[in-house]
This record gives sequence, C-alpha cells and structure tokens, in this order.
Amino acid sequence: MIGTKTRALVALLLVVSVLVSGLLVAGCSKAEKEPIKIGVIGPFTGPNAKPGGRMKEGIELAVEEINAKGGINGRKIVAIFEDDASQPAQSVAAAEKLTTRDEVLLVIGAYNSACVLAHMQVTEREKTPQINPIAVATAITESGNKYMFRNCATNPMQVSQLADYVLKNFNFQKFAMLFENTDYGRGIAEVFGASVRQAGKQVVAEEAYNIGDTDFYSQLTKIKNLGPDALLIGGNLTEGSQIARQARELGLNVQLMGLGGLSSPEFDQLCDGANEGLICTSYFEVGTDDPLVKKFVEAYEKKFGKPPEMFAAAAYEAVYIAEEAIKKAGEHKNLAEWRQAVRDALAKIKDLPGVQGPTTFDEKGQADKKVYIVQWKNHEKVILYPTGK
Amino acid sequence: MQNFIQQVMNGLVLGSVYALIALGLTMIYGVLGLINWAHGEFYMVGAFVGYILAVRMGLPYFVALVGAMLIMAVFGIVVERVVFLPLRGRPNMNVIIGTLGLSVFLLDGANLTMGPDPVRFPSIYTDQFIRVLGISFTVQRLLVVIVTLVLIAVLRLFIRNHKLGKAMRACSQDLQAASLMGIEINHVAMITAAIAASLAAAAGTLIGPIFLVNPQMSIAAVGKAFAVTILGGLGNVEGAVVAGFTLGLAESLTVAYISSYLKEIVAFAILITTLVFKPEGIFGKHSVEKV
Amino acid sequence: MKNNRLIKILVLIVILVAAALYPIVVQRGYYQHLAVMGCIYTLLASSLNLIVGYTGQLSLGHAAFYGVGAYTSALLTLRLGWPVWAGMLGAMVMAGVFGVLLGTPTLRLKGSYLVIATLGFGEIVRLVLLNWMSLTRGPMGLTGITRLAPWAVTKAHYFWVYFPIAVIVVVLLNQLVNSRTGRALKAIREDQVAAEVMGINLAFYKVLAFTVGAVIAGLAGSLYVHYVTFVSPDSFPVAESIQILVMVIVGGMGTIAGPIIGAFGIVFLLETMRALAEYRMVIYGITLFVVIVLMPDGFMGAVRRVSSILLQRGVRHAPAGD
Repeated sequence: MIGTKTRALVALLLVVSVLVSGLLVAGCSKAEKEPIKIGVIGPFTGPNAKPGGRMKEGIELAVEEINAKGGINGRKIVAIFEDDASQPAQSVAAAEKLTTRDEVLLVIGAYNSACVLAHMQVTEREKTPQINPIAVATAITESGNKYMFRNCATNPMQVSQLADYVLKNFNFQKFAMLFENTDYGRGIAEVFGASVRQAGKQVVAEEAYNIGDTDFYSQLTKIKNLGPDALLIGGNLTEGSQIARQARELGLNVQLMGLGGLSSPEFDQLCDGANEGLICTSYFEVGTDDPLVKKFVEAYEKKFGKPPEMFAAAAYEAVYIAEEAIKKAGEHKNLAEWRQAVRDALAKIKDLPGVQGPTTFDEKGQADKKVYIVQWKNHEKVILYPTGK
Repeated sequence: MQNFIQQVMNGLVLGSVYALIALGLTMIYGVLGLINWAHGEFYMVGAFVGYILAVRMGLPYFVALVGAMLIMAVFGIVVERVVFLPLRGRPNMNVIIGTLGLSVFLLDGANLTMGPDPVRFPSIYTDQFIRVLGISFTVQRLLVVIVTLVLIAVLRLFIRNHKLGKAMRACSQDLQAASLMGIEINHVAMITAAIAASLAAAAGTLIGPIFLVNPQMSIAAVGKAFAVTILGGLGNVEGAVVAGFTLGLAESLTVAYISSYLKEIVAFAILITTLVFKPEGIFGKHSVEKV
Repeated sequence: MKNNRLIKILVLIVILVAAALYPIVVQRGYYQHLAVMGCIYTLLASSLNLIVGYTGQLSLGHAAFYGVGAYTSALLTLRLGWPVWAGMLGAMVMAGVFGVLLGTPTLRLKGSYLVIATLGFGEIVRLVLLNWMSLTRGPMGLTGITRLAPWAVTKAHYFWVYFPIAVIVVVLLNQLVNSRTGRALKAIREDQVAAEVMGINLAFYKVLAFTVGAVIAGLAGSLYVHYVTFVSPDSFPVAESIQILVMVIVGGMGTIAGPIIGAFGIVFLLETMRALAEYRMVIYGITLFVVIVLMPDGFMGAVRRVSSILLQRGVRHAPAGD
C-alpha cells in the first residue's frame, strides 16, 4: 500500500513540476529586440514534412546569405519556425504565437491552403504582412485580405497553361483525370476539365483518391478500360509517383501529365523511370541560364548537398521579397507602424528579380508568375515551354 | 469480365495486407484482452526493418523478409514486457491511453530516425510483370497473396496442434481458468505479442516494395485493421482472415463499379453495420461483453 | 463541515476573479488564445466526462459532435443569415440529434466494441463533411464565418464571453451528476445489471448521457467557429477525439475538476512543449504512457491519494470507470 502511495506522490510531483516549469518558461519572455524577426509557418512534421523541410532549407539559406551581407538596414534577421503539421487548428495557434508572442515583423507560410485559409485571419487581425510562397488556393488572395501576398502561380494559372499547351501541341481526344480529394486536387480537375471541354474534347474519367492512399490499381484499372489518350495526375509527389508506377505496371500506356510537385527530383527518384515522358508544369528550373538561379543552386548544393527544388526556391525567394520590403520600409520604433510600412512596401514591389522570375504584386497581392512546362526524359527535365530560353 | 478479374486481383492484394495486420490485432485482443492501438505502428516499423535489411544492407529479399519477422518478434516481446504488462488488467480507458502513447512514440520516433520522406523499397520482383488474359500485375503482388496464404496456413497449424498454440486458445477463452490449469500466462503473452508483431512485419515487408515506406503508412492501416477485426469478430483468427479479404474486395469493387469517393467510407460503413447488427462478427461466438 | 464549504466557495471566488483579470494581466494575445482554447476544450472534456466518466460508456467519437456543431453554426449564420446566438442553439440541437443517432444503435455495445463503434462513427461524420461538397465545400472548408459579435475584436473579449459559458456549463453538469439522474448514470457505470434490476431504464439514461454530452460538444463547436471564423474537416480527425479523451483521463474522469485541469493542462503543456521542436510528440507519447501507468485515476486521483497520505487517512479509491 505504501508502494502505491509513494508512486502516486512521485507521479504527482512529476506532473506538477512539468506544469510549473512550463509556466515558468512561458512566463519569462523576451527581453531585447535586436534582430529582425520573421515568422515561418510550415508542416515540419506530419504528412507534408518532406516539402516542409525543403521550405525550411530555402529560408535558412536566404537568411544566412542576408546576414552574411550584414543583414537589413544594419540589423541581422532571424527566422522563427513554427510547425503546423498540416493541421488548420495548429496553424492558427502557430500564427497566434508568432504574431503576438514572438512579435515577428512578418510571416512567411504556409504549405497547405487549408492552413493558410485558417490562420490568415490572425495575421490580418494583427495587421502583420504575410508572404505565402506555396499554398495555391485562389481564395487566399481573392478574400480581400490586405496583408496577404503570394509569390507563386495559383492553381488556375498553372493548370490552364498546361491545358493550353497540351491541347495546342497534341491531338488527344479523350482525357482522364485522377486527383487528390482536396481543395488542391479538385481545383485542378475543375479547371483542366473545363479547358478540355471548351476545346471540344472529352473527359472520360474523373477519379479521386485521398492523401496517404497507396494503392491506385482500382482507379487505374477503371481508367484503362475507358481508353483515354492522356491522364492528368492532380496531386503531389508521393501519391503521384505511385500512380505513375502503377499505371506502368497495369500497362496503361498513355501520355501522363501533372503539376508542380511532379517536377521535383524526389518525384523522379520515387518513380523509378515510370515518369518517362510525363509532361508537367514547374515553378522553378535548376537548368536555366538566369544568374540568380545559378547562384542559388550553387549555394544550396554547397549547404545541403543536393540540388534545390521548387518549394525551397519559392521560400528562398519569399525571404528576398521580404528583405526588399523591409529595406524600403525603413526603421520604425512602433511594431504596428513598422508592420504597416512593410505591408505598404510589399504592395509597391515591382519587377523584383527572383529565382522564380520577377515579382510584381497586383492589388490583390497575387504575383503574376509564369510557369515552365517540362517533360521528363531519361531522369532529366526538358523545357518545352517557354522555348528558346 | 477482364475488368472484373483485374479488380478481384487488386482486391486480393489489399485483402492480404489487411488480413495480416488484423490477425495480430485480433490475437493480442483474444489472448491478452487488450486492444493494441499501436498496431499500425508495428506494421510501419516492420516495413522499415525489412527496408533496412533488404535495401541498406543488401540482403536477398526473402532473407530480409524472414529477418524482419524475427527482429519484430523480439520487438513484440519487448513491447509486451515494457508496455502491455503494466497495462494488463487495467481499465479499458487506461489501456487505450497507454497504447496510444506507444503509438505516438513509435510514429514520431520513426519520423525522427528515418525521416518523414517516403522511401522506395525495390525488390527484384517489382519489375517482373505477369500479363495474362489482358490483366496485368507484378510478381511482387502475386507474392503478397501467396506468402500471406502460407503464413495463415502455418499459423493455423500452430494454433491447432502445437502445445503453445493450444495454450493460446485456452487463454483466449478464459485467462484465469487457463492460469489455474497451470498455463504460464507470461509465456503465452510474450509468444502472442511476438507472433502479432512478426505478422505485422511480414505485411510491411511484403507491401513495402509495392508502395512506398514512410512513417505515415501506419495511420491509414490501423483504421482498416479495426474494421477487419470487428467484421471477423474480435479475437477470432479465422474471422480476421476472411474479413480481411472481404474488405479488400469490397474496396476494389466499390471503386470499379460505384465511385472512388466512397472507397474510404467502405471500411467504416462495414464497421458500423457489423457493430449495430452483429457485433460479435460474422463468425462470432465470442461474447460481446468480454473484459 | 461548514468551514470546508466556506473554503470551497472562497477558492472558487479567487479562481473566478483571477480568470477575469487574466487577459488584463497577460497582455500577449498568444496566451489569451490558449486560454480561449482552454475554455473550448473544457466544454469538450467535461461533456465527454459525462459519457465516459459518469456513465462508463467509452467513446472515441466526440470530435464528431464538435464538428457537427461547428458546421451547423457556420452554415446557419453563413447561408441563412441567422444571428450567432441562433446558430449556437441550432448547433446544440443538431449535435444532440447526432447524440441520439450514436447513442441508440450502440446501446448493446460495451467496452472495446463501443470504443471502436464510436471511432467509426467519428470517421464517417468526418468523411461525410469532406465529401458533401454542395453543403460543406468539402476539403476547402468554410471561410468568412461571422464573428461572435461586432464588438468581439480581441481575444480578451472572447475569453470574457467563453469563460463564463464554460463556468455555467460546468456548474450545470455538477448539478446534473449530483441529481437523481446523475445517480442513475453512476449506477449504470458501476454495474449495469444491478442498475437495471433496481428499475433504472438503461436505454433512456445511456442515450440521455450521449445526447447531453453531444449538445455541449456542439456548443463548443459553435464557439470554436465563431472564434476562428474558418472551419474544415481537417479540424475534426480521430486524433481530436483522442486528445479530448486524454484530457478527461489524465485530468481524472468521473470528477468535475479533472477534465478542466486536463483541458487547460494539456493545451498549455503541448504549447510549452513546442520548444522541444521535433522531439515534442515523442516525449508526449512517453509522458502519456508513464502518467497512465503511475496515475491510473488521473491527476485528481493522484491528488486524492496524496492528500489522504498527508491527512493520514485511508486511501479512497477514485472511480475507475469500466
């Protein structure tokens, strides 16, 4: 009996001490205000930890470079990373923490559209400017939020570019679509399907899958029987690579098409050759002659030992957009005024060179970005559009 | 017809995996009387062990398969001693929280050590195709079904005929009576956990080359395993096998003939329907009020 | 005895005053946000406690009621232009209907079967929210949901509304569990057969517990959406149900204070553990296991044991549930 009592006492003390130490840590907050703080929200754990990690690397590299040059207006910058694990509720908590506890000057993030849609009301209410480098849902910049800026092409922008290219250059009659059952995937299917129908062609199959699915034989078997000429994969690289591989296994020999994530080297590696001939859009290409891109690729490879991909590039670019705006905004003692000045500077950015091409924000905060159209050939990407670059 | 046969084949592959995972879950419940909420993680850890043996250490595929099963058997015994034993006989609630703690630990532990990125786990059988009568699959897929059937047959023989197997059956009927009859409960508990974990390892190592291996694979697996276990009857070994194949086929045919949106709902619809109308499962002899 | 009561009332007044002053003392919005979430989770954990702790019906589907309440309130205010208070009532009614829907067919189930059934119910609700595009906009979620009131601008305002709501609900729950109905529920928890023999209508009281629990969870869902102003099915996974259950059990089920301590404790604990970065969840997992093995009756159970040691009295065991 004494045993259980002692154990209970020990356990109680343990819990109390954990809570008390937690409150103490929480209680003593920051004292000095030296470096400029930038908050970053992304999925550093959970199902999207992989692209989240790339995003983090891009930001780390840009911060390091800027600090090596002496920072912004003579002050170093520091990035504070907060994980949202792709959960909207956690994303809101992360945004609350960054804007009101860490008092960051601006926020970069996140990865999932649902997370950005959930936490953008926090950054808006705190009047904190936010640069969104990755989440593509149109609603993010269509909401009238004056503090939201996006430096990547939206879903409709890239999907319609892909559809235009394919419809113009190939004589496909029947299209199939296999897309993830999310905002992202459904958005792709909607825009692509509309373009196809408008061109007088047929959509023979629209099949969905959930994130985390591994087996697509059932959907692909069904698609195969409908005899399409081309298959659009509306999803990310983990599931996309499985779809490509299983399509090959099933002998579904049609033109494969995809978006964004399917242009990454990881996708190629996971596909094991099943991506041969796949056409997809790409925000960022390592192999272009742009000196900015060359410098970025070199520095990234030196630091991380692998070539950068689109998410790293987008996040890297976002930090430089932030740098430009902070520089233009100048020094402010009052955080609220400073944030407002940075927001106004962001809105005025025009033709700022970046690794994804020049950035100019429209009145909604959306940057007008072009995308590449590339084709996988023997584990390398061939740029189909724009040609002659 | 061709479509139908292909979809049946697809369903059998899925069903094999569901059956292997559910077998372990149902055995642990039957013998130890506890639901292992970390069972999806057993499957995931097993797949990583197979991956390390086959890809990183370059062992032949079948050696890696057996190796993963043996290593996971030891892992199962350790888990039984460290986690299940302190929870044995505790109220249901505590068992849930305790094994959920294990589940969170293993999932995020794998994220930390192996990284969250999915890895490819190629075996020599993933690039060999069989194409007959217009249907197509890889040798690895055929292997999944065959190895699963062999393992099930061996397990059945063991439970029916071996002394320990009989002891397990006795324990699953009445733990206290079995103990009074002189059965060493601790041995039976350890053996059960070892078998359950090694079946999960077999599932992981078999399916790894077909799909990808990553820490998140445990999450999707565990919901399906529960549905299968309930449909087959909690604690019922034969039931788990039949139910596993039933769910695999049901999912595959739902996508083929109804809608791919419904694929995920199938498992839970089966789960709820079974629980409402026949909670003891399709072969249920077990009392619903066990525990 | 009288002294005891006086001390209790004094402690309660101190807590209430401290809570009312909290947003003034703690200016940082982040900590105010955690306090608002603490109130919402208090409602969730306390209502689940009625089902699990007092009636002994294990449930892992509580996030479904939370989600139904959140979506009902969001849709009523957004699509039909109802005022927020009407949306809240609607959310409670709709969640209550779902409580009956879950409670009735699962009457026969006990123990592990009930846990798995409620888990499946939770998943089905989430999958329906995800796939019923025309109503819920599926994975995109609903944006631009009405705020609580035009004057509710800061988190402090929310806290001053939500905290009294949480207090009122907890007081009402306290009344309920100490009433005739509460004694019937506890009798069912201790021994179903004996309860039935004594003439307690098992079906009625079990469904009642599920329904009342669901109504409160629906209210919590409504409070959540009018605070965050965005809702998507991602917010109500099984993990959310598990989180609520952890709060109940770690706090101490079958007690009034337990779920409240669990709710605030875990909200703050998980946030302070952010400092551990990627080790956070690994350590959380081990902590859960250790706590449940060492303190099977949760925090309140441990408090009771320790105080009994200090007072040199015999150990009074806390109710252990099923």
